[in-house]
Amino acid sequence: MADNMVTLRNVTKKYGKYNALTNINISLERGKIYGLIGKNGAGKTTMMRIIAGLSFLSGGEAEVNAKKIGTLIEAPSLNMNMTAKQNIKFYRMLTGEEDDTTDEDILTMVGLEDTGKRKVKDFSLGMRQRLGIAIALLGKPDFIMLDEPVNGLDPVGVVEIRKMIKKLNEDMGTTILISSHNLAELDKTATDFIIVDKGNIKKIVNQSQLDKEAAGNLEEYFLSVIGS
Amino acid sequence: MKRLYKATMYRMFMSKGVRVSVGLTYLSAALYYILSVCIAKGNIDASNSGSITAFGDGMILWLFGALIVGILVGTDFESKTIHGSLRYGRKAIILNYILVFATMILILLLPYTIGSVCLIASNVDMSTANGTIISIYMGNVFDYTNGISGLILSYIAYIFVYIGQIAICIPVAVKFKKSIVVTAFGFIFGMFTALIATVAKSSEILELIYKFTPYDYGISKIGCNASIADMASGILVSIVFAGICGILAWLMFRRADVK
Repeated sequence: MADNMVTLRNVTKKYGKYNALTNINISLERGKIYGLIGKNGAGKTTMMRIIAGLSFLSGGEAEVNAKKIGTLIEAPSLNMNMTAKQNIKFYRMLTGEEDDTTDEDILTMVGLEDTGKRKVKDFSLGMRQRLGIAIALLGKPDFIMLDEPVNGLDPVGVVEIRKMIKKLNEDMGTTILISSHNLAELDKTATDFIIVDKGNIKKIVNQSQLDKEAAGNLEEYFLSVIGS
Repeated sequence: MKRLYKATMYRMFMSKGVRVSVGLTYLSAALYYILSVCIAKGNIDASNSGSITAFGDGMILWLFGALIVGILVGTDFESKTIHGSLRYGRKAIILNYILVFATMILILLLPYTIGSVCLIASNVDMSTANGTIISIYMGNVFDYTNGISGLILSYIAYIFVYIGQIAICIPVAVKFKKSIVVTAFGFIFGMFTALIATVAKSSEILELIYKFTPYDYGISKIGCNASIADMASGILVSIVFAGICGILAWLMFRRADVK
C-alpha cells in the first residue's frame, strides 16, 4: 500500500484564462488530518475537486490511493425531497453498504436523530451541513475531504464536528483533508497545515512548527505567509 | 453498476415528480381507453376523438418521458447527487441513465399495454371509433394475421421504439443539466416528430437518414400486422439510436467538470 494517500505533481487547473491552481506539488500522508487554508478563491475547493475527480486537470498528474473517499465539497449533495434517513439509505445503496443498523447511529452522531419525516428541503443550512458530513462518513472511507464543514453550524455543532473528525482519525486512522478560511478553527483539529493563496501553495507546516512560528498569533501568521 | 441502478431507481421513486408523472400517466391511460370505448359504443360523439388522443401514449410518453429524463439526469446534477455516483466511472453513469430511463418507459407504457390486453380480451369492436389512434391499432389487432407472436413482437417493438425516440432527451439533459430544459425540449420535440417526417421527405439524403431513426417507426409500420422484418428492424434501429444518444451523452460528459 502506498504511504501517500494523495500525490499531486505539477497540478495546474485553468478556467479559461484564469489560473485556479498553478504547479501544485504535494503529498498527503496516510493517517493525518490536513488543514487546507486560504482566502476565498485561493484554490482550496479546486484542489479538492481535482482529488475527488469532479474536475479535470489542465496539466500535471494526480494520484489518489484511497479505497473509499467520502466528500463534502461546496454544498452537501442531498436529495431535497427525501428525509435524512432516506438520504442515508440512498447513499448506502450507492456505496454498497447493506447493513442499515448503523443509520440511526450515524444520524445520532451528527445530531439529526430527531428529524423523523421532515424533508431535507425544510432543514436549516446547519442541518444540511450535518447530513452532508454524515453522508461523507458512510461506508467507512479511508480518506475524507470536507470543504468548510462547519459552515452554518452553531458553536455546539462546531465542537461536535471537531470531536467527530478527531475520533475518526484516532480510531480508524482515516486520512482527512479539511478546508477552511479560519486558521483558528483548523488549529484545533488538524495535524498539518497547507496554506494556499492565488492558486499556489505558500507553506506546509505541522502542528508543532505552527505553534512555534505563529507563537499564538494565528491570524498575523497566516497574513504574513500569504504576504498580505 | 447494479448498486448504482438500484440506488437510482430508489431516488426516482422517492421523487414527487416521478410519482406524479407515473400517476398521471396511469390516469391518462385509463381515460384514453374508457373514452375510446365510449366512442366505439356511440356514447360519445366521434368528433371528440381528437381531444381523446391527447391522453394517448404518443403524447403522454413524450411529456412524462421527457420529464422523467429531466429528473433522472437534470436533478442528479442540480442536487449534486452525481458526486456520489462518480466512483462508478463516467461510462457507467451514462449506461445507468439509459437503463433507468428504459425501465421508466416500461413502467409508463404498462397501463397502455394492460388497456390493450383488456380490449382484446373483452372483444370490443373498435372499428367505429374512427380517428382515435387506438382504433387504428385495435383494428389491426382484430385482423392480425401474424398470430399471437406478431402481437407480442409488436408490443416489444413499441417499447423499443419509444425508448429510442425519447432517448434523444438524454444527451440534451447531460448538456444542459437542467430538468426544466429537458422537459420543455422533450415535449416540443415530441410534438414536432411529424414535422420531422415532412422535412425529411424534402431531400433524398434526409429521407434515407430518417429511415434509420426510430421516428420512422410509427403505428402503421410496427402494428401487429406488420412484417416480422419491419418490427425487428424497428427494434434494432431503436437500440442503435438509443446507443448513439448514450455515446453522445458520454462524449459530452467524459471530460466535463462536474459542478
